[in-house]
Amino acid sequence: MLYTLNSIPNQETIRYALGAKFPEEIPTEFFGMAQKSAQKILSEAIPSYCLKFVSLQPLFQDILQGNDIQNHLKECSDGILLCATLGAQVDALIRKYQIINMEQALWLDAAASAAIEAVCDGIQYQLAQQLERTLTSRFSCGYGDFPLTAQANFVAQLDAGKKIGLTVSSSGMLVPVKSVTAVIGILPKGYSNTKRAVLPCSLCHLKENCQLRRKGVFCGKQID
Amino acid sequence: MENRLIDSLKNTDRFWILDGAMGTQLQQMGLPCGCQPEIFNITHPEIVSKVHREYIKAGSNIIYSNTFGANRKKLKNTGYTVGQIVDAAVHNAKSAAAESDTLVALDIGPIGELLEPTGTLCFEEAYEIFYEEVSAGIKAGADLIVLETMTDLYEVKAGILAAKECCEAFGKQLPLMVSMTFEENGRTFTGCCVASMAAVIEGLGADIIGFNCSLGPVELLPLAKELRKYTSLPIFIKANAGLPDPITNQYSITPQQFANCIREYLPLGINIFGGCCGTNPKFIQALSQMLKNRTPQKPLSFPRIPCVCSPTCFVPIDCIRIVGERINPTGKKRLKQAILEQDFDYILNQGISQVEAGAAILDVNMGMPGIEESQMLPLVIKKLQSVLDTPLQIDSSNAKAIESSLRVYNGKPIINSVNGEEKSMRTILPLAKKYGACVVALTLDDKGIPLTAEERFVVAERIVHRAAEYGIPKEDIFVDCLTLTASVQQKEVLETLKAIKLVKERLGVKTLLGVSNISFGLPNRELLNHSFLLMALEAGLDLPIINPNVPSMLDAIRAFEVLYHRDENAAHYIENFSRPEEIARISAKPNTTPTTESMPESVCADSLTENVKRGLGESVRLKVKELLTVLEPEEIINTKLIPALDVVGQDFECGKIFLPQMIGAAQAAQSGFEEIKNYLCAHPKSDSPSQSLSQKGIVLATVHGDVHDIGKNIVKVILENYGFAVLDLGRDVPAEKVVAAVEENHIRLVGLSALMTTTLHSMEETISAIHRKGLDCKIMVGGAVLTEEYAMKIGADFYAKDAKASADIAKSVLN
Repeated sequence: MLYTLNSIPNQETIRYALGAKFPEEIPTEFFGMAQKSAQKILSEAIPSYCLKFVSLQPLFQDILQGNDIQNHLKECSDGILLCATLGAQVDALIRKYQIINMEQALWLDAAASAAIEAVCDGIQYQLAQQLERTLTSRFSCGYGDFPLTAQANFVAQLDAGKKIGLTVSSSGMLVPVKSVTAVIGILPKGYSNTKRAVLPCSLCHLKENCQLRRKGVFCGKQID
Repeated sequence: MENRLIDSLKNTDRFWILDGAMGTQLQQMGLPCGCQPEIFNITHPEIVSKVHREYIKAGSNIIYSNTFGANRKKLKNTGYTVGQIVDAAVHNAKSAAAESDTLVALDIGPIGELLEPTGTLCFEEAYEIFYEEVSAGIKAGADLIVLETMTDLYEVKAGILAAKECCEAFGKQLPLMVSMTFEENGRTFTGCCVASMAAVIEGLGADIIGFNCSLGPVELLPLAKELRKYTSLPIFIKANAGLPDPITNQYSITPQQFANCIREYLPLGINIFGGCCGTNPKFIQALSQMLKNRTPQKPLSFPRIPCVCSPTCFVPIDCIRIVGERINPTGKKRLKQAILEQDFDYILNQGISQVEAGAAILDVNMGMPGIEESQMLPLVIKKLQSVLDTPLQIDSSNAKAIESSLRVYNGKPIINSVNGEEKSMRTILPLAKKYGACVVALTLDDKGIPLTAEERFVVAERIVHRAAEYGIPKEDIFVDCLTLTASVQQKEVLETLKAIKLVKERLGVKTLLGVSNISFGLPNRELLNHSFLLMALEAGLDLPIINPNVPSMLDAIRAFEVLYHRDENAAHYIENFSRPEEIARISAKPNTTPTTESMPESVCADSLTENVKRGLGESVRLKVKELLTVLEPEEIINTKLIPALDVVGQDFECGKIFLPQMIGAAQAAQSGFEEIKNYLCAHPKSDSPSQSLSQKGIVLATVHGDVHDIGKNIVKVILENYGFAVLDLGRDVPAEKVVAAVEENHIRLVGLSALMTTTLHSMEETISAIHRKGLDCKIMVGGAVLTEEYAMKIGADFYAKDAKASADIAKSVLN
């Protein structure tokens, strides 16, 4: 189903555009570039998502593989499988700008990354409100030892190809590119926000050469 | 042919009722969740047949075989072949239908992977996957073929071609039904619109067109009304049982409500219905009850709309539409060079800039010595369609090149051209028919270009009549009455205009004309061009082939549309001339560029560095243009542009500037290099500083399986600006392709990128493939998940942590 995305946080777009080198002071023109790219992405994107409420235990065998995800969800018995995408037109827009103007393409790519995260944040917020429960952070294929090879099975579980046009290439890549699949754990009643699990750097594949980590900065968004 | 269906639809003598959902019915009868329904054809044939029988009992006249996902991709890990599954499925359906006159359709769903350019599956492979399914279905005895739940029109094209060509190979003519799945915004997931769907599916020769899935009958009704306007084919509707609840996945409407909604479709002359997700035999029964005492209506008929399209861009020829002429190497040295060097970015930019200037269609011609047109033309068309959705005009005199391009074109294109010669008509018109393309009809034949308007009309008439014999409607023909050069055949200029009037009046076809030829050999060509354009428009020209980047040509069209009351209240005219850039253009004083005398060289150079740093491409270009009058190209590159980039690189390394700014600077420098390239094309020298691939060439590729290539493309921009020739193999590149490119071009440096952990093994494979061949080249690798240590482990020579580092590596290896 469709999701209405009204804005993309400029701060996040800038963070993606600059990659690992995050400035202490952001040049003001970056906000202009982020804003312009956000408008283009918002006009091309058709954000849509599908989800499924699941009992987690039976899935640990086939779909939710690896120790890290089990650990991430250890307090939860139920969870939500989520697939979301900005649609194929966003990929096409970024492809076109890589021919016209690579600098703008980089900004658009960053804005699109920020946009799909904003879509997921929005959906997650709505779910938490509806359920009146606290949710874990999203955990996706490729995090820690949760293998990317699980992607096809994950997407098939939700019939996301039919529902939102999200497919997996033969090498396990999500197509369209600006898409997210994730599992979200529903924490038992009584868990507050502060107890929410945050992904530690120790799970990350980039921990070896992460420039942010050397500076003691966490690349994830600051959560509440 | 199974004419019972087709004949009945022609005569509108009855309703046809399809079946409802299959998968959910099987699940209710024991198919485990997550198990592929197609396997049940073999393991539980009695259950599959039971579902079929229930639908037949409920009133279905056509049932779909249980083969929605029976393609080799989806069956890969099941242990069964496509042939086995399809054979069993058609058999199950046939046995259920045995005691009735129910028809069995071979059901074909989407492959499940997206095609290029969005995905990685190539068109040719998609074709083969479908061909295998159809072939199995025909062997098993299916009565007709259905392609359904399609969201990508390109995949549909592969499916229709496979179905038709496979039937031909078997000497059968099975009816072909095609339905696509739309969202409420009137588009499919891949952005395809209803009008384009109709133009392409009807053009490719399907027999019945329709919608299924995604929406309920209420939401589909406006789409069905729209489809009715764009097609003369019979329409079918297989809607869901309303919309599903996002949490429970329960569908919203009852069988009776469903049947009541379908009533609304009857006045449109739609007479074929079934159900999709959420429906069951009860829905089909309600449907047959509702239809029992009703009479089918003749389809509402609408005039056929002349049009061309891509899936996302439908262009009706209902007003003046500009055809951009720039992608044609004739007389264009820079483009010739780009084609020879396979510099696709340059070619694509020619396309993009014409579209931005106002072209609605782009003519594409790759005819030049030394180029294998039948390979280059389809390749360029694929590349153009990966960045533009503007419809294309396939321009070639080589029938093989035309057919290979028609095959891969995504949408309804134009063929340029056929003429009145028997041989030309016999070759080109069947191609136009088969691929549903429009065709430009040149008013000439074996006797040459007739001098008088009447004679040209006769040729046009001959082509239109011949086309009709092939089943090509006149709306698909654009007559070109041919511009003759005023400097040579001044008397005949008016004959062209008279001929346009004649063919428009008497044949009722649209017209197309290459305008710029008029002024050849005369001074101030622009004046003659736009004057002639106005005269031709007045005569009734619909499709001028021009250079839309020449403002006076667009101005002429804008003025014409106001003066001819086509632009109501001059709204477009006023809107255009209120744009700041247009205001600046009309108020600009001619030639204010300062001369080099007034500006000392040192100032030029310094400001050049500054402008590169600030990413001001146009200023850099102008400066380089000035410098070219006093300096050698090589000197400008080595003493001005490269040092400027070095300063930028240092600033990036020490964190003074960031990645977007470095790319901006590189692009600004690129404008300078482009100016130098133009200069060199105009003043060719033997010791040209433009580097051939073997001297300073670098092959770049994102490895097999990986679709994330923006990082590799950034590296390319930076490398090119340091004067390296880059052969970009794109993304998802198999190892053997990298090896071949290195070998063929004697490459000394290869750059490989991979973003995902899963594709790192492809990188490793590519490296060892290069090593196995014993090629004398260095390999640098980069990508988010790589580390220096890992890079060395998999046998790379260098680890490039960013784009700047890759330029440093290239300098150390190649300079």
